[in-house]
Amino acid sequence: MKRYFSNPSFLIGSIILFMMLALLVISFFHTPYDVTAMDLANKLAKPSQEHFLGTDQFGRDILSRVMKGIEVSLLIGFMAVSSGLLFGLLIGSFSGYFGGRLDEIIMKIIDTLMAFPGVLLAMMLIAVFGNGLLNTIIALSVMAVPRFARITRSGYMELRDSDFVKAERIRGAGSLRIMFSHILPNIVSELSATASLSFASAIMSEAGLSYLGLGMQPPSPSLGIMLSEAQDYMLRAPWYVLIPTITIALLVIAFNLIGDGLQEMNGGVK
Amino acid sequence: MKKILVFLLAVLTLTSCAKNEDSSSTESLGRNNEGVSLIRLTMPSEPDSLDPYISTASDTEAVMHNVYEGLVLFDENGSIIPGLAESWEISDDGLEYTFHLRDDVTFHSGEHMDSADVAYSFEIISGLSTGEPISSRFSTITAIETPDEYTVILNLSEPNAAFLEGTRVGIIPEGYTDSATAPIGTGPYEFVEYTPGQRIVLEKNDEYYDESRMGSIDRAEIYIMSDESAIVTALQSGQLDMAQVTGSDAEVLNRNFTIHSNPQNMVCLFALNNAIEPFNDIRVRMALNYAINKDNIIYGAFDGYATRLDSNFSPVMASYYNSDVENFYPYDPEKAIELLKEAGYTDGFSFTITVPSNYQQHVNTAQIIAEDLKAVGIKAGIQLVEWGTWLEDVYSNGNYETTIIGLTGKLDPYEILVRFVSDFRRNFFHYNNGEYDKLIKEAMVETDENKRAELYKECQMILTEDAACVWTCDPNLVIAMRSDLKGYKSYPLAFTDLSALYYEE
Amino acid sequence: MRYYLRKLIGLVVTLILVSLVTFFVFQILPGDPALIILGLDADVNQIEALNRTLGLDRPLTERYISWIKGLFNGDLGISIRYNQSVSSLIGQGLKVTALLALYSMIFTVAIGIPVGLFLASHSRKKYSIPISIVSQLSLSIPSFCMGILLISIFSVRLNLLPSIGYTPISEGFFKSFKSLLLPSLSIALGSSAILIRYVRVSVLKEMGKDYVRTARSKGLSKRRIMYAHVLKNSLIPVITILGLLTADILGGSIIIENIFSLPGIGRLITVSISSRDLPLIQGLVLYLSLIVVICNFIVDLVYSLVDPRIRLR
Repeated sequence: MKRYFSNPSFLIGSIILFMMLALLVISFFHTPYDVTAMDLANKLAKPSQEHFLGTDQFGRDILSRVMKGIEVSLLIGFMAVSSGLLFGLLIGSFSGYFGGRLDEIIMKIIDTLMAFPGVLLAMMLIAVFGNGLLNTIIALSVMAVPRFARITRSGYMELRDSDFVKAERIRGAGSLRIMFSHILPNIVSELSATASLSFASAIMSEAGLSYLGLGMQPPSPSLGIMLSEAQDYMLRAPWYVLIPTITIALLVIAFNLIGDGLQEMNGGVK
Repeated sequence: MKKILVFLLAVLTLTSCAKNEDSSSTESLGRNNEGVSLIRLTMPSEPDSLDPYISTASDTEAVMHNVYEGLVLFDENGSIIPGLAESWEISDDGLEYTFHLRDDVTFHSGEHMDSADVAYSFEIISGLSTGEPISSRFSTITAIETPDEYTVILNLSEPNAAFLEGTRVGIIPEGYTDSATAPIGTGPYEFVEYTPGQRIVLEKNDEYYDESRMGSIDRAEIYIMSDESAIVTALQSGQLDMAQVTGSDAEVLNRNFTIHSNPQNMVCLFALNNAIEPFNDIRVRMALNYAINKDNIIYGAFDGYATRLDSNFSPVMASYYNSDVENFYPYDPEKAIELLKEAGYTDGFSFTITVPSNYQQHVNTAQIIAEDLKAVGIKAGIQLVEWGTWLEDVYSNGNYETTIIGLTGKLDPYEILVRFVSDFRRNFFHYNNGEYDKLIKEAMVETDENKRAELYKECQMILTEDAACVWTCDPNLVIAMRSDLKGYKSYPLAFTDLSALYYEE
Repeated sequence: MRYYLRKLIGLVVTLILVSLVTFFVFQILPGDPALIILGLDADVNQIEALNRTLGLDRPLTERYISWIKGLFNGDLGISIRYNQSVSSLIGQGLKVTALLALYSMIFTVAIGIPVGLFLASHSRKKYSIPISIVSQLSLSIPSFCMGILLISIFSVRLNLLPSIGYTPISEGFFKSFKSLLLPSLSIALGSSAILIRYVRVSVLKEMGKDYVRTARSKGLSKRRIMYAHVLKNSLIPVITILGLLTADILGGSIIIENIFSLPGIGRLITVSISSRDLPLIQGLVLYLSLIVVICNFIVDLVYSLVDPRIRLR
């Protein structure tokens, strides 16, 4: 563990993430105001003592909404990445370990998915299934699957003929056992770096989709929704658009740095 | 690192130099390099079709009405005025319309306009030559006669008080079939080009027949832009001369720009599916009317740039507007709770508001409504859907609980109020009131203007009494213009009158 | 040779799959194109008439099959929304998007590779920390925010560069370049940050290898080793990333073209999906995936040329 925190990227990333998580935990118990409570007389108020980060177009407290927004972003990122990771891992491991026809077919499908630019794919998925938390998560995890599948596959392809796997096979270990208790641990570090980077890109994509009106449903305080709503008031209330932007940037930076750190460490690069 | 900095600096300097050499002229007087006066404005969506007989979108009409003109035109009050026809007579039974055409009109193609062109156009409009009228309002035309070069007689199968207003549809040259790609009309501006995704370009028609409506600005570039912040930044950096903006931006832009804000004869409403529970109960509908604070919507979603509505009619149409509906349901949450109790919903209920996601103002309205309803114990969830999905599910199939939409204005009250007639195909409210249907039918054939207005006023009252919807407001059309651009005229119909605009030297 | 042939067949299969997926998406997507084009004010007659003129009264499957047939004759069909041939629409849009992508790619490489190299060879914190911060920031701000930010600085405050519309090259290279400068920078700032990271990591990995140590011990200068050996070897993985970035840049252009009102492919994509324009979206998806697939194909080829072992797998 100490090894990890001696890496500056990982350390800084973790500190930022920790602060975000702290805000998240506080938001479970307390937010300065109700996140949907409106106070129209106080709309687009500048940051002040009552409203630390100002208010939005309905006079809702921006700080409270950002706190809840972090929760939504993290939830979406976590669900999208973990389901993307799960499916990517399953697909990639079987494909890479067994190879042959199956591998070719699966990789064709993965290539097909990768051939769509991510945003286009998500746009089509959401056009079909509609907006909302679950559908946003599904769209984002479909976007994440190919990346994980490819990385897992290349890891398995490299290792399936290595000496320690051959040795296990001679000892009579089953394929599943070799796949998941012997090969998998060797690529965990690479996967975790990718997961961290995917987390960052899922948060960005949610913002992009909400910007196009395709993401979450209001009045849910997602950072993407806040950003797209704030955009209409850029002229009148520049701080309103800056706050979700900065929050998104911080979250993304945190995950990028952690991912970088992990990558540096398992690449043996200081 | 240094090299990159040098490179970036070089790029910036070069581009800024290039900027200085070509743009100094566009800045000051709205002129381009050749000294031609220019106006750059926006339209929010791609034109649906440049063909006047296919197009129905009001955004398209706002632009193309500068190119196409009909037998009649309308003025700033929405009254019918002479257009290509300098006068007309309607027979007493309302079945024969005789139009006397101007003899000094030429098309943009240079051809002279006469009754043959009008007959050709009306043969397409009425479907006599194609088999299908372009719209059901023209299905009653049975014959078109051209007794001489400048007279056209239209015969109808049944009287229709709204027919004259319909003859403002554009006239095209006889035998012309390329309107969809190269529109030719008679208006003060002629069509130059359309680049999909980018812009429409119009140029002044120097041969225009009416001096008083002759344009002053030589060239108009209409950019297709929907992104609010892109429009505002383009205005501020002098790349646009005029654009529709939100009320919120107007509050800031008014420092350097002239702001025109006028009601636009639009009806924004919170539609309730009258056919399903609990909205089939009038007490529930009335409760919703009492529970929603319309002033909050006007201030919160439209920044005050809107006029409150209490029925399906905008006060802009002054001669038909019934002012008795005003404040029929004042904001009164106590009364709403009482009514809900009476209807058997002591603990409230929950439902979904389906909102088209491309209209931020409707999305905002939905959020305010949901918050207001929370106070009377009703849970309203918001479901954003894509515009295409909304049109299919809500508008065509009427398959929804509640929705929020703005219905664009019409010059004839029939076309505005017919949406609530029980057998109207697009009555997505599922509103059904026999008396209302009867009154609308009566009004349609009534040729006495005063009686007709009375009937329509009665219709508005019925809708309000039945609480068929929660009408919210008529949002203003807010236009920001460079301060040296003058002459803006506002109409109760989507129309950007380019010919009225001029630059103050 | 067989290897390349198999790759080529794979490419065609992918394209067919992509087109099928698009078709099925449209099968279940609610929405009537004629209704979407004409909007709220059309009456039922007008919608039916338009449906007939556009040939939309035939079932979707039938239209798809005739579209496929047309494809073999090199005909992409007629767009429903624009009533123009899909190939000419894509051709027009491509002029803009290709230039946008090209400039973005040039900026990405021009910023990404030198900065990446610099970071790899200068471990001193004085330089690397500020650069890392800047590159992290540009990576973490969504491209549309970057676009708005650049507009508000360069168009609104400084009034240097245009923020809307596209000037074709025919009206002068410089004017045209200027109209695409901000949009391509908005894309390039993010993607160059990705490139910087990959270049840095890959160079550092390469420098840790034995041959570098040998060369060092032979007394070669650090600079010499860097440019004569490390650079060449470490840029191979970077090529892969450039291939992947192409997809990113194309995806990014969808949003960026909306912000800068550019009449490119991205605009067409948004419009074609929202108006259920099946021929147009099919043409676009086919074209886009062709580009992405070809990029990956080239990457694979370059790989197999560099490392013949790959061909055996």
